[in-house]
Amino acid sequence: MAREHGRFLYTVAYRLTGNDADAQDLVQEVLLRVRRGLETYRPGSLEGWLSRITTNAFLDEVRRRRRRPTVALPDDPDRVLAGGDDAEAALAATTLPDDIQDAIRALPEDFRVAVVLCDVVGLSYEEIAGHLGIPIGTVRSRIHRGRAALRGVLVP
Amino acid sequence: MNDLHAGDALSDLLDGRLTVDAAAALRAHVIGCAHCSAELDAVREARASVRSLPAVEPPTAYIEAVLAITEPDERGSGRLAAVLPLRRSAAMANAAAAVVAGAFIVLGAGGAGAGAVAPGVGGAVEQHAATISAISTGLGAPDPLLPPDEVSPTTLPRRSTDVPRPYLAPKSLGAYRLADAFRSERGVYLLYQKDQYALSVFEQEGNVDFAGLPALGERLQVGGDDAWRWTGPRADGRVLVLERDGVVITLVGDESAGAVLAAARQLPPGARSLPIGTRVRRACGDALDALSPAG
Repeated sequence: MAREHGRFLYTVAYRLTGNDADAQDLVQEVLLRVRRGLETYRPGSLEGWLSRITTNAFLDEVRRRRRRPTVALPDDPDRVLAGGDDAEAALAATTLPDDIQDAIRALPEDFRVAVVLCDVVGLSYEEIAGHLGIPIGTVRSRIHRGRAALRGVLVP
Repeated sequence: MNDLHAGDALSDLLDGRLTVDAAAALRAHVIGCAHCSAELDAVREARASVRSLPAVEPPTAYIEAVLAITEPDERGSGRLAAVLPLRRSAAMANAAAAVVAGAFIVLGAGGAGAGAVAPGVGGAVEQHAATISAISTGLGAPDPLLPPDEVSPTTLPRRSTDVPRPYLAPKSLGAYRLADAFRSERGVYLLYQKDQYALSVFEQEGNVDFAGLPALGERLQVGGDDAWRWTGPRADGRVLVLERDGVVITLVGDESAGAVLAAARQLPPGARSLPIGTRVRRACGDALDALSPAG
C-alpha cells in the first residue's frame, strides 16, 4: 500500500511536470506543504488532499517560472484532429508511454492540469473544478480540448 | 463546441456524465455525423492512452537526496523528519518511529499513567495525517513494533514486550486490519487500514476528562461506556474518544463518522461486561505477569 501511494504522488508530479527533475522538485515542495498543512488537515480522502496540494504547488510553480512558453490551442477543432482511421490504428499499435508523456508535456498548462487530474488522478469534473477554483464548464472544455490536442500531437 | 457538433459533450459521454436519454441522443447524432464520430474516436483514444500510462517510480538518487535533507542531524535540516520518517537503517528507522510516535502528538494534559485525561484530539488528527503522509510518500515508513501479521499487542504480551498491557486494540476492527503499532510516551498508537482508508487508534491509561474536550462535540455510548465524538468542522464526527477499563481510546478515521463509530463498537468489551470468572482469571494473570521476572 505504501509503495502504491508513493507511486501515486510521484506519478502525478511526473505527469504534470513532464520530467524527473521537475517532478522531484514538485514532490519536495508538496512534502513541505504537507508538513505546513497538517494543522489544517481534516480527516478525509488522503489522495484528494495530496493531489490538491500537488496541483496547487504545480500551478504556483508554473505561474512563478513560466519556463516554457504557452502555445494556445487552435480554435478550429479540425486542426487538432488530423488523422483518420488508419492513423488511429497505427497510433494504437505504436504509441509508447514516452510518446504519450511527451504529448502531455506539450499541452498548455491549463489543459495539461485538467487532463492529468481527470485521467491520471481520476478526479471527477466537480472535484477538479473545486481544486482549481474554476467553473465546471471550463473544466469540461479543458478536458475535452486537451484530449483532442493530445491526439493531434500523437498523430502529427 | 459549436451549434452543429457535440464538442465537449463527447467527453461527457466518455466519462459517463450524461443521462441515459442524453447519451442515447448523442450516440444517435454521432452515428450520422462524420465530424463528431471522428472527434469521439480521437478523444477516446487520447483518454485511453493517458489512462493506460504506468505509474512512475521515483529515482533512487532522489530518495537518497530526500533522505539527506530529512534526517534530523546536526545540520538542523530535519524539518521533514516527522512527516517523512524514512527507512535507512534499523537505527534510523527506530529514530523515525520515535519521531512519529512522540514529536507531534500531545495526547493528554496529564502525565503517564492513570489520571484524568483530556486527549489532545487536535494532536491526534495531526498525528494521523503525519503518519499517513509518511506512508503515502512511499519512500519509507517507520518500522512497526509489530509485523503486520503479528498478533495484537494484548493477546501475546510476551512476544510483543514493547507494547505493554492493558491496551485493548485487537488485530482487526471490523474490516480494518492492524497495519502498524507504535509506542508513544503515554501509550500506544495503532494504525489500521481498510483499502484506501486509514484509522488511527491511540490508547493511554487513565480516565477521560470529558469537560476538557472541545466544546463542539457530543456525548454518546459505545458498548456501554461513555464516549464523545468531535463534531467540529475539522473532524465532522470522525474523531471519537471513549474510556474502557482504565484506558482512554481516541479513534481518528478517514472514512466517515459512521465508520469510526462502527470500528469503536468492534473494540473488545470492557471487563465489566465479562463473566465474573473471566474477570478473576484476567486479574490473576495480570498479577502473575507483574510478578514474573520477564514482566
